[in-house]
Amino acid sequence: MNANKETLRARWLRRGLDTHVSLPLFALLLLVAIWLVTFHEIDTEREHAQEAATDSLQEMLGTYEAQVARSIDGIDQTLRMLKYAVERKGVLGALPELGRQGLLPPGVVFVVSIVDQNGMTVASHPRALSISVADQNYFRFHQEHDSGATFVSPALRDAANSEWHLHFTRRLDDVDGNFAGIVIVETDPAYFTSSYERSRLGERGMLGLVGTDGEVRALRSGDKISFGQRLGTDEGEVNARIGGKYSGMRELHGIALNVLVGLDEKELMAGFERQRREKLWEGAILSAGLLFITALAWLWSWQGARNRARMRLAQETYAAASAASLDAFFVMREVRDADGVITDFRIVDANARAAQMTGSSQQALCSTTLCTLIPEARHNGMLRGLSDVMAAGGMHEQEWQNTLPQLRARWLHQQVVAVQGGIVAIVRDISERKLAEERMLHLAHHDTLTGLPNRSLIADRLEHTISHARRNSGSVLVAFIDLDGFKLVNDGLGHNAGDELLKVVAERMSACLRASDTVGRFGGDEFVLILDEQGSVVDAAPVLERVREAVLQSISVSGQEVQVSCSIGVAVYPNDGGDAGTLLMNADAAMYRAKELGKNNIQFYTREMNASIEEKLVLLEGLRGALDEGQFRLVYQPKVDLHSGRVFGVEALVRWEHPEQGVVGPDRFIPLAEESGMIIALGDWVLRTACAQNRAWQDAGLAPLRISVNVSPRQFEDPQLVERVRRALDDHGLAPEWLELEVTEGVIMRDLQQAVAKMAAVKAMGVSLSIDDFGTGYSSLSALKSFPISTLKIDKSFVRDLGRSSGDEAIASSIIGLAHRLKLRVIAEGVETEQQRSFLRENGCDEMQGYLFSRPLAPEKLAQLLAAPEAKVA
Amino acid sequence: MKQLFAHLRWCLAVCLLCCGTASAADFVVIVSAKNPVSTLRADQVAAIFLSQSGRFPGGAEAVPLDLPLGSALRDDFYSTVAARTRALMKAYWTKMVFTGRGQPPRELASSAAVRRLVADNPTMIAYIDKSALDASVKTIQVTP
Repeated sequence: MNANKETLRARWLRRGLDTHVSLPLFALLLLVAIWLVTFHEIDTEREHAQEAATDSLQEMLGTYEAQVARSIDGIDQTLRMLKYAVERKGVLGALPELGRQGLLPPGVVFVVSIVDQNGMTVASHPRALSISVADQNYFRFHQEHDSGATFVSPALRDAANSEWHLHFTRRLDDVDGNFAGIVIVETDPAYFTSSYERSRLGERGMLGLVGTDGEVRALRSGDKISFGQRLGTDEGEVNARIGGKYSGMRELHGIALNVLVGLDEKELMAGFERQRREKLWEGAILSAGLLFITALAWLWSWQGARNRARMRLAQETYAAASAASLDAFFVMREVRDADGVITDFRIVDANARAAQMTGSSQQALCSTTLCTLIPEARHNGMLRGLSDVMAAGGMHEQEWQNTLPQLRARWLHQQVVAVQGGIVAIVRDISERKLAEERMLHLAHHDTLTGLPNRSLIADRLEHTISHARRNSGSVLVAFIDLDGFKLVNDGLGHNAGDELLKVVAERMSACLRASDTVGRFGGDEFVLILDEQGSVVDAAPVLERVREAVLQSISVSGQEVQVSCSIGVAVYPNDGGDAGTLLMNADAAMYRAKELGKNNIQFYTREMNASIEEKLVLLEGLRGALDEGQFRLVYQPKVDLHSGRVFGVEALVRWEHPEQGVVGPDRFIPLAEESGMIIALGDWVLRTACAQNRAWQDAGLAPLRISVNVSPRQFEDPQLVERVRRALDDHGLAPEWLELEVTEGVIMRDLQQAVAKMAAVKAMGVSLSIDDFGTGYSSLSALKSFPISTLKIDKSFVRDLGRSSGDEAIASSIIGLAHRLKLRVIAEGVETEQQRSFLRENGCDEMQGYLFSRPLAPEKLAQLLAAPEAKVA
Repeated sequence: MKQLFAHLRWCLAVCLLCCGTASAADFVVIVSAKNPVSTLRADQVAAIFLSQSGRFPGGAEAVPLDLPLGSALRDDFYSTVAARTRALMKAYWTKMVFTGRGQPPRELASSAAVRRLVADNPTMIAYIDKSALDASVKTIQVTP
């Protein structure tokens, strides 16, 4: 695949290079060819033109030579004829005779004259003035020479003929052979150049006669006729003189004349030059056209190459992205039937993930269609859905639960994008996400410990059930269940034991329910039952009873058999509330009522129940400002040594002087303070006030007392407890031995190790510790021995029935015995009768407190009590 | 254009002929009385006298005759018929003779001599002084 791609890429690259490079190269070659051909043609043309010029020159030369020769011949003939006529008819008779015979040359062209031996012209035709030509060269020549030839003189003018003429002369002889004169034929020099034609010789051609002496007899160039100048007879010389012209010269036979024909090179080559220019233009235009087309083609191919490169990049990017993607990519092309309806999609591309998802190979995928791969697509709406996307365009997204065996995923998320002529489907396996979501949803709605619905799901279910009941005129029963004594298990046996207990209870509750019922854990040891009743509420009662009894069965946790009960409060829709919140609140109130009524029972909600709750709320409201407004005060209950009867200490007890309700007992507001967290501040205040008071007594001169302060669970757990105690002592200058902290055993058992460490820290300060309410919780007796405590306090519930209940007496005496063995002192609280005191004294109890001796007193009362001497003896 | 000028020139000449005032003598073109030709266009006359045509329009042979070189009537004739001055006529014949394409017409000394020769030769055509005209010859009407 990779190698394949490489070669593909290389091929594309090569092709792009080819077009880019080869096109200009090819154009260059063509250009070179065009110009080679052009120049070659020009050269050929030039040769042709030159050849033609030479040919033309030769031809004209031939023609001209023939014309001149014939004319000269005619002139010569005339001269001979004249001579003959003169010899026959005499000087005067010759011309008339010839005239008569029509043998005289036309007078318009030629002048014929006869000259006697003295040089006088005696006759002429046309008639002319008689003059002497004795001085003329031609006359003297013939006078001196008997050459028998025709003499050609240069152009001359004389009195008889004012125009320039060429003179052709012959000697006349008398019968003795002596010189008898001459005959002359004169003609204009222009006569010999009259065959000059512009069409052949142009404006600067030349036609002329040159004497063998080198003197020009007649020369015409264009319209200009000249004569008399020297030109020479050598062709080279002539050419040089006339300036680079094509010229030819031929000697005439029998007469001392040369004919000269010259052609102007520029004129000769004008046609060629024109052709040459045309050729050059043609070449230039062709080149420009070629360049233009090449440029266009190049631009086109360049753009094409760029587009291809861009496409290639896009494809590669897509391929890389899709190959690396965790999503499956399917690129599909539509398949339409004759009516244009989409019948299938052909898969044209798919990535590795797609192959993995379909359990097929990429090659196999790319050669199949959607309906071949998934035949169900025709019927389950998949094909229709994809067709709709094609029709609507854009991007469509959906999640669906897969039921197709071909796709290896339970949940799928698909994005379908319509593209030209097809679609791209991006499919993601979201099974894990869905699973996690489900898990999270379950977690959000269920309690992790028991697996029961949690608070939020209960609320949902309740709402749902209520709305269902509303429609069906049914009723809903909401039961609020709180375990009695769970706190003991939790505190005494640890959280794990508590958790185990909760699990068992939850299972038992679930087992009691009908299919339509719901049980959920509301938090802590609170459970909620929702019972959907079609008919009357009465049907639900057995269920509740079953639940109560099921909870009551003993449970084995952490190897110990424990028994808890539950208090159940019930509220019923629609009687006790129209919504979930109200029903739950009212059920809660009913449950509190059940608790108040001694636990392990079921209470149905009544309107009065809300009153106690409201009272609680009012108290809580007041509690918030009570500390700041100084509504708390401490009272002190003396502790008495049972043996000596002396008051050796006091227990500080807090009282709330409510502005409206009067004095509120700690049993009403301490739990509220504990719940709301105000106990920390309140406890600190108590501690400091007690310390201050004790110091005040000492300062007042009373005998030193040990003052006991109760520490609530929350206070004890406060990490700053030790620090707070130290500060209270320091701030009020109280020696630590005069302070004792009372802690309930439940507090200690929650976290034994930490509790022991904390107690040790307190003890190290010199402060005493005692265990309050001993016997009511689950104390680990083995742990008790390691506690750094000095005193155990027997709970007043045991003290109350001393002398009446042998069981309580046994417990009391056991505690006393146990404490003494552990070298601890024992104090009994709530001692109210002489009977109780005597039992305690008999059984060796060390100390006591209670109404029998004194109720809790205000500080000044206590000071009076101590100051009185009778206080020493009980 | 050239044609137009020729016409104008001809008209002018005809006017001159008719008025008989400006020129010294008026010429007439004549042929033998036996010659059937009676009308010729000026260019036809010129063609015959310039040796460009050897025949009358009817096909009969035509031989022109000239008056002597330098006679006013001759110059008049050629300038009228062929629109050529004496110098141009000389140049014309120079070229014709040199190139062998023709010879100038035979010259006779006077209009009378010409008339006499024409009278006897039906092939001949000539121009003579109007005053020399007689019945032995026929005047050719020269049309533009």
